Amino acid sequence: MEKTVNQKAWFLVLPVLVLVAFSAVIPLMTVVNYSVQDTFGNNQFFWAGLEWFKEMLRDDRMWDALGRQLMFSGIILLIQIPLGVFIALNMPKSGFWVSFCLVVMSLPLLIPWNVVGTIWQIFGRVDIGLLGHTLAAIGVDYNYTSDPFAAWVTIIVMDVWHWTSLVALLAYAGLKSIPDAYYQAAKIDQASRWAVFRYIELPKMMGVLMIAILLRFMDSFMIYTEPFVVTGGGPGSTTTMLSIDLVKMALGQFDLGPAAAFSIMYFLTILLISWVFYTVMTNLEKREG
Amino acid sequence: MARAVTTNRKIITTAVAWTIALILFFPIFWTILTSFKTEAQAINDPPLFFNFDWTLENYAVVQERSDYMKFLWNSIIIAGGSTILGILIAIPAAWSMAFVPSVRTKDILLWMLSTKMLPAVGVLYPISLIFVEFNLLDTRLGLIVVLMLINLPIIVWMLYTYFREIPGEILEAARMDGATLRDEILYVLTPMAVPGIASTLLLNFILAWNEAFWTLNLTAANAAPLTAFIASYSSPEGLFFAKLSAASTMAIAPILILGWFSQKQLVRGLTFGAVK
Repeated sequence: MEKTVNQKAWFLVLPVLVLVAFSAVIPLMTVVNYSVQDTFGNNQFFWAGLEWFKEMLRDDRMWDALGRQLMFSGIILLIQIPLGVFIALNMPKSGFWVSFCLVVMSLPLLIPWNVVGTIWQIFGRVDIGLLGHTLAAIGVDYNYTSDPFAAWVTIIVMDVWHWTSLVALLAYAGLKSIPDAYYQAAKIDQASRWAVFRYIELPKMMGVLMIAILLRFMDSFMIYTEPFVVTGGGPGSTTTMLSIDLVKMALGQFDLGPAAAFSIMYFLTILLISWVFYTVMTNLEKREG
Repeated sequence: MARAVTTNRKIITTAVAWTIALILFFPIFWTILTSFKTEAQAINDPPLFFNFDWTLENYAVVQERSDYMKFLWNSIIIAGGSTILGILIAIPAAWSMAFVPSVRTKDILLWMLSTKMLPAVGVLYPISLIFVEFNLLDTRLGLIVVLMLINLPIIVWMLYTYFREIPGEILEAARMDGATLRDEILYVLTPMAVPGIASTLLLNFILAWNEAFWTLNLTAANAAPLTAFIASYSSPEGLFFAKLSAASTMAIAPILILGWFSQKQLVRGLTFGAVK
């Protein structure tokens, strides 16, 4: 009996596995293929071995971009995850205000990503934007086109504005799945608010939080559209993230070989960091029970 | 005393909630407001709030230049098609991962997510070649398939997480009563998982709706959704802020309206979920 159930179960996973494998392996194969070859055009390719990888690793520009990228994702996670959980905890659990909160919360998520950049570009301009204008009026020296610090603040505020809701929504859905009995038991035990959070809510949210962290990490690590629209990677190259560099290489200069090598190293970096996050979180979840 | 503290807390929470709501809404509000100004008023110094001549001119110009309904329809078909297709494929898989776990389940989940980690720019070229090969360039079908494949790992993962919260005993009880696998998924699991499925559906619809890399690079005139509609206003004439705002507002409006209704659906799902 057990056995038949198991076999049927695998049969059900199979379509997804085949689809994902298909969508993963074919592009990856092509990229690997480009990364080890050189071309002078006319579709003639030459074996280049690991030359592109060596060149990329020697390139200071890439290391700088990687540093900026790590800092960006780090700041994003440190702000968005606690803030999202905090918002979810403070959201009403029933009544009219629930739908009001959810609608307002999901507003930024509903905006197409190229519009998000445009909105903040206009909003933050010192001459015509309300934000830039107000800041200038109260005496803050703010100009994201010339001051690197202001540019960083702008893209971080923009990303926090855009994506914190996703974390909050996921956390909220996780909270809603906690049976009332748990809270009643905690009440009987006279557990403090902190204890309820630490021993009931947080462990129950672990699963969705893992999704939130991984999604936010991956998306912020591959962010392209929004900073490109707002700052174009500047001033100088102070907000040039890895993906902006990659686009310059692949589409601007048509250096398919180096761009492919870059993609693979980019991919491996994300994979490594995600794996670390995942392992740590899974262990935590196991320990919490 | 305790009562006073609670009231204070309530006031603070409400104030914070309103501030957050205002901050979230304001940039959008500003864009909508700008869309009703003339180009000269849009770049007025100081910025104008309500004291300007409201005009619908920008909307008229935008509509005249590009057929809005066609872009809207493409967006609906592409986002809806890819989400529904993805959910249908993912439900059985998430079911078996959640209720018949094996040692490999966790690894498979991470591996599926890892397929999303290859930078899109890096694979644009190969994907374009495949699209040309199969005549999928600038078709809705092509985009439905691509966006479905992109979001499938997230859909599976989210459903798996929600399904796992459902007590397995209920499924065992159903099995005792002679339910087949199909009955189990259709009549026991799905109704119980409605809150989870609803929020998965909503989130992925939004993700597909807003995706602005593949939709811009794999379409031209026929299958272009609303993201392309806006892009056509933002790149060549970046200085026409009022028209850009009008185009943005037109692109946001349908999903905001739909969001309002599906949110109610979602709230109902979240509140009356059988998970309790």
